[in-house]
Amino acid sequence: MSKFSAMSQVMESRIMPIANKMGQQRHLAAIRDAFITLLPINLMGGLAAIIKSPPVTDSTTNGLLLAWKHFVDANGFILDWLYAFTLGAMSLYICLGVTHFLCRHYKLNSFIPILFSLVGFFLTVTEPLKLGWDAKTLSFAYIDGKGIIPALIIAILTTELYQFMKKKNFGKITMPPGVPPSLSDVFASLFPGMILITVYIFIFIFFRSFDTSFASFIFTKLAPALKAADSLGFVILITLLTHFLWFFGIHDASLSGIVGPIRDGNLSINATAKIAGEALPTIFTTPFWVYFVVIGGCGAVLGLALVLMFSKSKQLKTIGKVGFLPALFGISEPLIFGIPLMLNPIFFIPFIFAATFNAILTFLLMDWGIIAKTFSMVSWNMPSFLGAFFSTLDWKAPILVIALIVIDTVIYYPFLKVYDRQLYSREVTMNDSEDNVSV
Amino acid sequence: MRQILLVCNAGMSSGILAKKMEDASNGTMKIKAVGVSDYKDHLENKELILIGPQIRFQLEEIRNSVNVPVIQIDFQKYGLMDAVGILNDVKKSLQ
Repeated sequence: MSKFSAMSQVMESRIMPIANKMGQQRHLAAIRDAFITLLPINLMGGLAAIIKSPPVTDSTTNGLLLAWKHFVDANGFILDWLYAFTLGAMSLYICLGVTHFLCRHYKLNSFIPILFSLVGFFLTVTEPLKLGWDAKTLSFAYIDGKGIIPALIIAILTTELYQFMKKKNFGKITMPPGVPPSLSDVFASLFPGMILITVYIFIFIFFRSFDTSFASFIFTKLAPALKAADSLGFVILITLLTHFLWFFGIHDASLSGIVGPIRDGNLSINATAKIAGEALPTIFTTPFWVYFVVIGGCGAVLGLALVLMFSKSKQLKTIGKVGFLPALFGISEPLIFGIPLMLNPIFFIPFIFAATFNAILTFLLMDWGIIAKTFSMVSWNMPSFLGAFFSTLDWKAPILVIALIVIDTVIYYPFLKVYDRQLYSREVTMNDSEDNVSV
Repeated sequence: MRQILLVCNAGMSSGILAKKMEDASNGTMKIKAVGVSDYKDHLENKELILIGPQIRFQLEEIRNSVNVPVIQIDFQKYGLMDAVGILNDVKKSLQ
């Protein structure tokens, strides 16, 4: 056994249990599942933000674009409203989603806890401005990506306390035998509900006494940390970690419980800015990752898939044919396991660095304002050059993606050549020996 | 008709494979691909669970929560989307 494979086996045996633990950790898993569920809602909000932003300048003469602009001028309010309760209300839906999936982990019926989470969310994440008899006004500035953390806290606090009280039969009232079980369920949640809602209102009172709110306090306190997470260094770190896991053929899902809220939260923050006509504040969003960094799936393998079809080795040619279409839609498993890129010492360097290069270049170009930042996300399966355009509405973005595909291919190419030669000569010897047998 | 469940992270890459395997089985098998977060909702009538290599770190967890055999799909066959090869492995474990 070579030194490399001995070392990788040791590494693998260390990484697997960690990946397993993180993948199973109930809160991270619930967060991950909640974000996946949000897809259709985020998509509609993204569409509203796209429609709201016709690429029109003072010198535009194209009739179609001008008509688009005219439509937006007349109907912008409808788009704002549609946005406000789709992508613009991400934290609200995340709060409910995490409650649901965490309940599922505990095998609890999630309906009542979801109601409690909703109460908690309204009481602590939105702010009452006026609560008169004939007009009630609420500020919900934090229900978009800015309120993700308080939303997660409410969801987890609610579910954990609820299941704890339920387990301990806290405040359970024994009903006479004739009472239908569904009714006694409602009574069983009476005390837990009272306690939870009391906790929420005390959170509200506490922060209000400091002239702030739970959501705005967390957001201001966390602002430096969020800023740090939107830096080149953090993006490189996440890219390296993700690809390190994939090099061992392990899905990066275990990271997404942590990275997901940051990336999707940033997306929502950018979309909110875009629809309000402000400058976009963040770079590290989900579309940034999916369309610009992992082009063709993890490993940034789209260009590689194309070149594979022209290999000498029959095996590599086959994988190119099998893997190209999936890669076009962001799925790289066929290549990672088929070539394989996984645990393959020849491909360690390009596998880790192609995507990292994409991340660095795109981050810098967006930071310098040369490429527009992302504010919408259609689907992670959309081919990168299309996704890059629709997520930025910048015609330079798909050009960047194509340039990145070319560069990634150049990074992979010398290593592919070496491997192709190896496989090809092995295939030839095998054929020869088969020929000898048949003779 | 025998029923098999394929589990990967989100049911995407295994979805491609499930379709190929169904075609390759000449209608003798019904194969469904799902993500690891909701495989528990799809266990009914399934005789075998195949899991994608990228989530092999969850093999034990899945094995402990079901009462049918759970096997990991071979890396290379998964990569090549080698439906016939995987079906042969399946037939062995279904006997």
